[in-house]
Amino acid sequence: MRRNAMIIIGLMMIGLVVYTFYRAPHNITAPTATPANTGITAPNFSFTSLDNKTYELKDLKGKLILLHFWASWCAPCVVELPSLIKLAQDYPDDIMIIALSNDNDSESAMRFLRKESINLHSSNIIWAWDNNKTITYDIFQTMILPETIILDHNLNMVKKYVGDTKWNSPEIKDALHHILKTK
Amino acid sequence: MMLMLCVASYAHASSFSGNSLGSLPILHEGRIKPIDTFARITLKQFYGRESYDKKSATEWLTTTLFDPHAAINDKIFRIENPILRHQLNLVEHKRPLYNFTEISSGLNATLNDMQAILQKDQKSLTPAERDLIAMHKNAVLYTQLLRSFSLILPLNVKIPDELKGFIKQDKADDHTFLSLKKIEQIALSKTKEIVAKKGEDLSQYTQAELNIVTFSYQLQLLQNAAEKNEILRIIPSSWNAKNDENIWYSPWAIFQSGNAGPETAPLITDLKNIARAYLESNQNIFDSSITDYKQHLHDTGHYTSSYKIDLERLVNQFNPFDIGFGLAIIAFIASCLLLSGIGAHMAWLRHIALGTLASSAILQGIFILYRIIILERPPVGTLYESIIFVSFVATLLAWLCERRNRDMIFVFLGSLSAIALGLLSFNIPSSQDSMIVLSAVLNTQFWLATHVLCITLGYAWCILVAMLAHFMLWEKTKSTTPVHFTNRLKSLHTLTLIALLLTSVGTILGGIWADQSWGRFWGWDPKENGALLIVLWIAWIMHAQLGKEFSEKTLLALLGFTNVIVAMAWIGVNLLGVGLHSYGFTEGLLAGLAAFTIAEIALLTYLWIKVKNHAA
Repeated sequence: MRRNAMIIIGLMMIGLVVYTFYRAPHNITAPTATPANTGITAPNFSFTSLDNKTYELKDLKGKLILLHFWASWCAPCVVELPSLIKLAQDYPDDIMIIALSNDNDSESAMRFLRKESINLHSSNIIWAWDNNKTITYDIFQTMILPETIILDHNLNMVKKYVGDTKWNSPEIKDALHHILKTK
Repeated sequence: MMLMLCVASYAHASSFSGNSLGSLPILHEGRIKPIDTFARITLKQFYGRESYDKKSATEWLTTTLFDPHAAINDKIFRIENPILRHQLNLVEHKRPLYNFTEISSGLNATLNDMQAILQKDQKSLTPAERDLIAMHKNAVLYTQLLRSFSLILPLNVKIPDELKGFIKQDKADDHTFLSLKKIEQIALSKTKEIVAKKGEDLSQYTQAELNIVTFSYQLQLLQNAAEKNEILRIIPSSWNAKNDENIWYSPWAIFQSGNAGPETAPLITDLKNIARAYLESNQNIFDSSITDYKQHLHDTGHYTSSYKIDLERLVNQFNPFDIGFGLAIIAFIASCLLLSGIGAHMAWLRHIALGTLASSAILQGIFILYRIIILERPPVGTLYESIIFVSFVATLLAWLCERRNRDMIFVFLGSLSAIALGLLSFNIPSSQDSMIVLSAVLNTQFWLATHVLCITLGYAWCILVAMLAHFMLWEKTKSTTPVHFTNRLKSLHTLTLIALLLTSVGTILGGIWADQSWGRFWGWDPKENGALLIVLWIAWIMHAQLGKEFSEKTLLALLGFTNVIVAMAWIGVNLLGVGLHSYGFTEGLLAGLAAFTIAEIALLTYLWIKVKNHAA
């Protein structure tokens, strides 16, 4: 009986030790304020800018794209807009901003931009109105404004910023530099 | 209740089964599990059982999620405490079961009491106060469930004519919150204009204006009611690393937290289809939409362990531990018949006794293996797990001993241990999932596999030693002439030495773990003291035996008392509520432990005196 018992104990211990070392530990990651997506390509969509030019997302491939959802009735959007425009001016060759308005109509967005003396014809900001909110709601499932999705040079969605963001902060610039470097 | 006015109500076919919803994965209490398990846990929390009115827990949950109008009439709130029933102003029924409508007004009336109770020291609360807190928590959980899908369910709202032109709706798409959200800002702008023009006196509004204001209010109401609605975490986020199964969101939370993305879209479409199919009692579309949902989950790459979900559902239906418990009862009855001489001439009964004991051990082992697969860790992280593990080891060990001794005693002892431990496992007071994610200090694969396993193996050996000692003492009382068990004493001696070895090594390993986790080898923590107590108890008896200090009957009585020492160290210290092993605290077992201790003392004293009188 002693021999049997010893064999059983030995086998169980060996089995469990083998199992223990075979299984790698599972790390649990906490959610971050600006979560990163691991490179899922953004779905293609077409849109018309407020100055009546038609674009397709795939045609803009090559630059770092900030897909920005905003509206003139959204106070945090209005607050962050100047820093976003400044960011575009600081990186004229590397960054392209698609600013999709969720206003009730295109005229409301135009009126706001005129009031704020914002140039509609900037070289690296496309101001557009999301007709029927198809891109914002149906494709990108965005319900909270403002929201910005960063697309890398291959149109992979690599980061998302939800809520009022300070686009001239060192943290944001570091993050964008990091994405630009991985070209 | 106001929310219910916004969600449409449907007549529902009785032949429809919502069971396939149970195969979807959900993140609950830190673990991805089937909705079937979640439904069982939740229904048990409210109702005390895992099925309601001949419906499975999943079917009950399906109604709650997709047809809240019908669900609020389900009498699922079991209120056993008469003081609480009186406090909630409830009408007395034959059975203390109430629906949400019945308890709502009472709960609202006790909100101030709740504030006062929450300010109190939680340890000084009366049972009625504890029950009131639990009732409020249950009601919050239930309302979260009722509202979980309010963003995709067809709404019972009147769209103002002025806004209809702004809705570009897909064909066959209902007016859901998600589709109407697109025109929310237009409605709000118009509402502001109306209020600016006519003030807040509704009687001044035209019918068209009233429609717009009501519509805005209803959308706002739905959103506000869904704040922090996080219970039904069935959607993984597109914005977290792939295969990270720990960050999933409820339908409302994924939108409100900004964690939705293009990958969320097909999942939301599937959920809409599931809801619509349920409301229209279309079984085929309901089941196929659930399959689509699972496929889209796979496509996102966030969900890769579907075999675990299927396995867990299967075990929810056919629990091997429960079947093993049943077989242990058969083995016990067969061994009793054989030991009493009634079945002495039935050779087949011996095979049945051995076969059922072996099968019981195998099924218990399968159950433990299943838990290792699901939890991906050694199987002894909680009190419940330690009980089923000890039961398995004791049964297996008894079967091995029986193969050598062939006298049916170990079948009797092993099956009795399995039955007693099985009953203990069924009665652990908990409404939670038995497969919980461990606290960080415990979730260490190496130490769980060594220290805890070693200690629990020691418990199993100790229990079998104590059972054998009981049996031998009882045998001594039956014989009129002095009985000397040379061989059986040798077996007992061997088993006791192995128990001493396992508990000693386990205790030392525990010290090393404590040194690594808490920075000290030994801290006189109650759990540590309990483990040491077993080692000292057995070492004391073994030394006394070597020195021939005790008579055989005293030795057997003391070894029999090892049961109580193990119970104290294993379960008793958890009742103290102090020390660093806070993950092991258990409430509600005190009375059982006290009764067990008194019964053991009485039994052993009785047997000891009877043997003494025999000898005299």
